[in-house]
Amino acid sequence: MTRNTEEKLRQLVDHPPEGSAVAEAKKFGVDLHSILENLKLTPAERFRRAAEETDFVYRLRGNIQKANS
Amino acid sequence: MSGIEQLLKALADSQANFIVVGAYAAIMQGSTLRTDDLDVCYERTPDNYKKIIRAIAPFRPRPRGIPANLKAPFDEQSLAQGTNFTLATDLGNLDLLGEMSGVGGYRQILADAKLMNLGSVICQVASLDTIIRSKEAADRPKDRATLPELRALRMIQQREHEGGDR
Repeated sequence: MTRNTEEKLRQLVDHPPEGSAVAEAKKFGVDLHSILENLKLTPAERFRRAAEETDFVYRLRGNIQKANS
Repeated sequence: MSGIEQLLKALADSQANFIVVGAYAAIMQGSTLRTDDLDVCYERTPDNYKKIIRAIAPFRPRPRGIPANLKAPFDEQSLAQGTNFTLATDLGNLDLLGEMSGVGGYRQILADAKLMNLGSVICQVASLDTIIRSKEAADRPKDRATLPELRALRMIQQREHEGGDR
């Protein structure tokens, strides 16, 4: 993504057209700046990060189960 | 390598016909959604059942909610006799979907799926349009809650492809 495109997308997120999907998401409380940050990553990086978080959740659940047994 | 990545790699290495759908498909395209399930839509043919079972058998697939030490074999016959399955495996949760509400099965979803390189795996990933249509059709509270973000992501991506102009 070029710096120019990034700036235009930031404008879109900060000042979305009335009634647009971006405006609706903003009203709903979606963190649109996190989406822009994600778009700077490759699909592989996005996938790996999410999969590592999933592993962390499984480990946490396993530890809680052990602690409760 | 994470459990979900190992699961995906096993499916891809088996040459099974499948498409990543659901939250992981959205995440690969920039969504901030989080999930602990890998959802895939699989082609419903006997040859594909064999490949899928061969890929996941080492990780003890079993219907979710059944303790790992209880015998509840999940095999080709199980796949042939049902359509959608929510499974637990030793590597993580795997949902195998033969049909998805609002979008259909493997062939329909493949029509506008994208081939993505995820580093250790190259696989088909459902389009944002497909994910949105499936969530609109499923219409559960948890699906409805994801729609504002997914629709906004689609708009942002469209602008990105246009170089941010309009």
